[in-house]
Amino acid sequence: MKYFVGIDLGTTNSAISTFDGENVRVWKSKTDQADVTPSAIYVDKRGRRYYGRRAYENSFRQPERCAKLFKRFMGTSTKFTIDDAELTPEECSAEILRELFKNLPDEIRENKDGVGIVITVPAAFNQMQNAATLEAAKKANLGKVALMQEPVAAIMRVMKDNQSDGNFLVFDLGGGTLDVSIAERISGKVNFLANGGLTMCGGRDFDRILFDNFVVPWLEENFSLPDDWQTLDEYKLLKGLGLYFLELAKIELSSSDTAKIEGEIELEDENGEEIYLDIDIDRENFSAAIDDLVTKAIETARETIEKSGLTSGDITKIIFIGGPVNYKPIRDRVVDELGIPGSIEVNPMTAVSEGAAIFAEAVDWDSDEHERKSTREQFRSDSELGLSFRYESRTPDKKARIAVVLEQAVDGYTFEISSLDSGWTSGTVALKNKAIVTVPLHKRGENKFVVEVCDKGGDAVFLESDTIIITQTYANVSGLLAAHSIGVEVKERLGSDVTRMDYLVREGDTLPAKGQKKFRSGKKIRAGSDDSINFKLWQGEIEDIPSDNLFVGALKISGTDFDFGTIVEGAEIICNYTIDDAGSIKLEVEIPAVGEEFYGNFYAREDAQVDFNKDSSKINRDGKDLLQRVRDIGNAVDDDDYEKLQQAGEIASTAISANNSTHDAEELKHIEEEIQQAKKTLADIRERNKFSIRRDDLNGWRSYYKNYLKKFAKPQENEQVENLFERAENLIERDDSAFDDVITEIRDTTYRIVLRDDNFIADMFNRLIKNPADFTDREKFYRLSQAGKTAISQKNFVELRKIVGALYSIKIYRDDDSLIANIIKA
Amino acid sequence: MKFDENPFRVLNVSIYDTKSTIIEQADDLSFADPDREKIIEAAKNILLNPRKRIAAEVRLFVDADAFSAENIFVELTEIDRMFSIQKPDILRTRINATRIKSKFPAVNDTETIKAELKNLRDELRGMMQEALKAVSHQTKVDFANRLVDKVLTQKNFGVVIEDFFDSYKLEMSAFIDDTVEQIIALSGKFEFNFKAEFSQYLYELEPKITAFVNTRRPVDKFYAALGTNKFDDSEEIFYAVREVAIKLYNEKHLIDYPLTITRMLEKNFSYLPKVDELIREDLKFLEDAKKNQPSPSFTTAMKQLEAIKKSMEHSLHFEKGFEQANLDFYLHFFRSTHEDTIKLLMFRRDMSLDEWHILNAATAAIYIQMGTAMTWVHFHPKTVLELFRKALPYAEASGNAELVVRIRKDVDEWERTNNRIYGKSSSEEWGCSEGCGCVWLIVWAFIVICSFLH
Repeated sequence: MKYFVGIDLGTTNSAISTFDGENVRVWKSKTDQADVTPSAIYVDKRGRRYYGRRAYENSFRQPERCAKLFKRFMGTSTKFTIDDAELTPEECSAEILRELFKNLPDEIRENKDGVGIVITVPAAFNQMQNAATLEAAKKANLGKVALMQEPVAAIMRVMKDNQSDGNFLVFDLGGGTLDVSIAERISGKVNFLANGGLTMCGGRDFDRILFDNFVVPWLEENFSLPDDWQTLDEYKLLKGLGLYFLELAKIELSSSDTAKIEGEIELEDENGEEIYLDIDIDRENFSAAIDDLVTKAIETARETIEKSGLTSGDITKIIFIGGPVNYKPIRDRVVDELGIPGSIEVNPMTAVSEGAAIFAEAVDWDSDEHERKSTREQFRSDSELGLSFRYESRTPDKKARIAVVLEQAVDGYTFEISSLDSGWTSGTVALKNKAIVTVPLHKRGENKFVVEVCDKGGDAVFLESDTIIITQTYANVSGLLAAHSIGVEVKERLGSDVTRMDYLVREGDTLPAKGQKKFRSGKKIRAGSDDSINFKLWQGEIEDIPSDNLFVGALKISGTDFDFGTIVEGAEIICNYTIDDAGSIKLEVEIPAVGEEFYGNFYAREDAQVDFNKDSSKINRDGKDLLQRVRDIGNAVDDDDYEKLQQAGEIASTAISANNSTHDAEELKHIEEEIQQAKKTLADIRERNKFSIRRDDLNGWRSYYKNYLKKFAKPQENEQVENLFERAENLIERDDSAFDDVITEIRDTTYRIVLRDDNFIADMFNRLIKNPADFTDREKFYRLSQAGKTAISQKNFVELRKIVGALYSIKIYRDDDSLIANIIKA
Repeated sequence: MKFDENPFRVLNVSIYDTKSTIIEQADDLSFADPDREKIIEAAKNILLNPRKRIAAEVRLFVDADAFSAENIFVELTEIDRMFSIQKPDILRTRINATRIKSKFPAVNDTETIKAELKNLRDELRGMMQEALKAVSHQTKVDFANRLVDKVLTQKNFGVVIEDFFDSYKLEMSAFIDDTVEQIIALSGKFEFNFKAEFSQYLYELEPKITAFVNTRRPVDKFYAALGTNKFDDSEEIFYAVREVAIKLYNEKHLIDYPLTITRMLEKNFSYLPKVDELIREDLKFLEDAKKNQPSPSFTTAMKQLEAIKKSMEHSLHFEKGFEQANLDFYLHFFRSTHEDTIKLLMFRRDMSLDEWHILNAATAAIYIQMGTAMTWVHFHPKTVLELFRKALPYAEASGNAELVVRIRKDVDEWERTNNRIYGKSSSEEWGCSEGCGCVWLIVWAFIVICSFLH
């Protein structure tokens, strides 16, 4: 591999760099002659395509002919309409990648086999976003590509110039995301200790806040605009230019205390008055407006420090990366609040692409998985003597060890190691069975040495291979960290209905990772049958409710997938997985009982890919679900958590009322991210208040049983329920799902009892008939509804029970129900 | 991290060693054995990361290295005890004491320690499952049965023991499932041809039930001790087999077969809390029924009387034109064959007094029926009188005073008739007079017989 390329494919700006083993170079865009290329596409009326600055600037005036911010929608099915053409985020990204690649000189571009490219992704990117980025690279037809987390690339760049040991916090506030990473450098070896991050927290989000705080009130105060002007096509220009002038003012504020958001819009308001902008802002009110988001970012940094097991005092410095950190008050605030010195020793706009190029050199581009090169090598050089060399092939040190090893001891042999670069020689060294020589490394990059072995008579022994190459690196990175936990939804035990996450990889685990995890089948599947084992994969930290995490995908192994045999209940399921440096997972599932291996596309592209321009229904559903859960635990949480619970409730309310006419795609995506975050908050609250929530739950069941159900229970059932209450009581403070299992058993047992209550059956009937859309056979549904009403009026509950049974037989269940996880943790 | 992969062991460093020692040692080991570089690097990364290092430290303090698949059966209760006594805050204190020397930052909370204990528990469970998979079915069953008795006697067990029984259940689920299916199929098949196949059924069923229960009992007993009610498989088998017993009793009127089945159920399933009482009730019911069951001699005798009765019903006709046929039947069948049978029956004594009474009543009824039939035959009032007189001792032996009175009344009447006939010749007088008790007696006697037979 001759050329190592790093690409920072950013939300607002992208950059490309190369590394030759010694030096890094940032390649300016040919059109703009700038280090960074705005990630924007513009198509003019004649169909000519423009990228970079010109496209970006046109995006404010002619948003309908432009695409930008597509990185935010990677992994979704949101489309970008340019003129009449619809582009996916992957297609847009592919165009930017191709454009960036054009910045490289011809000898690199024309030598695709000799180029290894690392594209960076935010650490917070999920599986679908990573997959979409790789898809974009494939569409761009760049050649050999690997992904790398942006903070890793940033650290690589920092280590190039900074050769001192210490703990570093990388605060990478980009156009769209915040990544926080903590790494430790000891003798040139870099070990990552923790990752953290926030999606929808970047320069773009600051812009939106500022726009809402300064531009919108000023416009609405000074001009006659409809209430929903921001969503109306005729005011798109106003919104676009408003953001543009705001951005100019923001840049001005980086170097000045005050600035003006000013400009002509060339648009009239409802009264025919020409609209313009003339707003004074200063650093103080600017900082106040973005305070909440900055606070969130600092909180994330604090959490990351905690995750690393360090304290602020243990961290040497904060390294700032990304466009928004050019604004000094943000840097000052982070430094002040964390109590750690800050540093702007690297170019915040290009550090990531530079680091990516440096990292590209460390990748073994000949391996299928593009793993990192080994730092130790050994090879056998002579078959007769059994001679082999072991050596440190990559080291940041200025010296390295070479061991000459013989299988059997010999007498009178000698060897000599010479540098082909500097003329250094080890001199003659006696060789008996093993000898170690430390060699100096004179330069960064490859250092070549040659070994000569002589026999007793002083004659040179023929060696099949006598050259050793040792690379002096800027830093050896080990211990890259998984940014997310990825797990399989499992039942904890046979007979349990409660599912949990069983993790293949946990956030903070070292990457790359390779492993095997065993599960057991929770169902009997005969060859040819329609029954299936459902292997569901989720990404996230919410252990007790897998479906609150991000659905990565599912593998359904049904009876029709194998020709012979039976997968018995309890049969072993072996899952082999690999997770690469960027956190992308690959799985294969083996079931020895039927001698088959199953592969599948685990990425749920279809399920995860919401088009935020068109569909808000999923957000509405998630909002309702979240609100219900907030209510469920409201009584059992302590005061400290009550406020957080209220905030989660507010997010849920926003989500319930969100729709495409009042919110644009970016806002809806933001709400989705907030819901996801609120679910995590809720999970943390549940964990902290676990015992009181359980106590509350159990008390609820006890009271429900005592006051209402007991009279319907037979003596044996009563004894059974009381036993279960006692068992649940004993399990309240246990740290597993046993309590939930018992509650499920209580629910099942009491359900059998409550069915004896005629009023319950009547309620059940009334609930069922509320939603005719839930039934397959509408005609039969109406017939049954009518018959049920008659049965209620005649108090014929025997008949009503039959009718309810018949209604259930034609009820439609959600598709997801057919994909109930039915594998058991082994 | 697995038990045999504790980074401290992989790198051969102590919990007190500092970062530089760990790095140096990892470098040296990687250099000496490049093939193990990835394992060594992974171990180094764990030990250098203050958060991830907790996993290795917890394992060291819990002495997790002592857990292995080889000794897990031997030391399960000890491992359970050891695991139960771990307290996250004490572990944190111990870890922090070592971190002062190793110069790693102190652990501030116990969350990671709790999570690690949970991971350890999961790994132990995995190890138990591997160990169970490696031994024979019988070894598993024997161990589980011993273990359940031991822990229930001691009344002290922790989550590791619970996990063992979950793992055992999982490991055995295919066998259980298969056996349940076989027993259900066997019981279903048996319904169709119960008599011929009962022995075969029992022969096939009993070992299956025994194997099933031996396998399943430890789990059921353990769950019963926990207070849960997850006995679905066992109850399914129990009710399926009990259903066979119920059908044999209700539909085929058998007692011994259902009793055999119920005793087998008692032997195997009485440990189940829900069915224990049911078994006792079933047994009491069947044993009571057996006590009231007629003796074989009586049953045989009644069957023979029934045969005579059927023969009479078939051959005797109470209408004009059949006088000669009735007489022929009396002379050639009843007197020559049936009467001999009746006399022989009366020699049987191995029956209860009640049975003896019923037998005599039924015999009396047969003579009355025959005598009544003979009233339709011309010029044979003596035969009628003779038959009624023959009925009388049986009626007296039946202990039924009412019956005796009625028969005596008929005998008296026919004696008078005979006296008259020798003086007069009028066919109209030969039949039974209106109000004669013969017909009533026949009906009454047959009711007695029928009710007994059912």
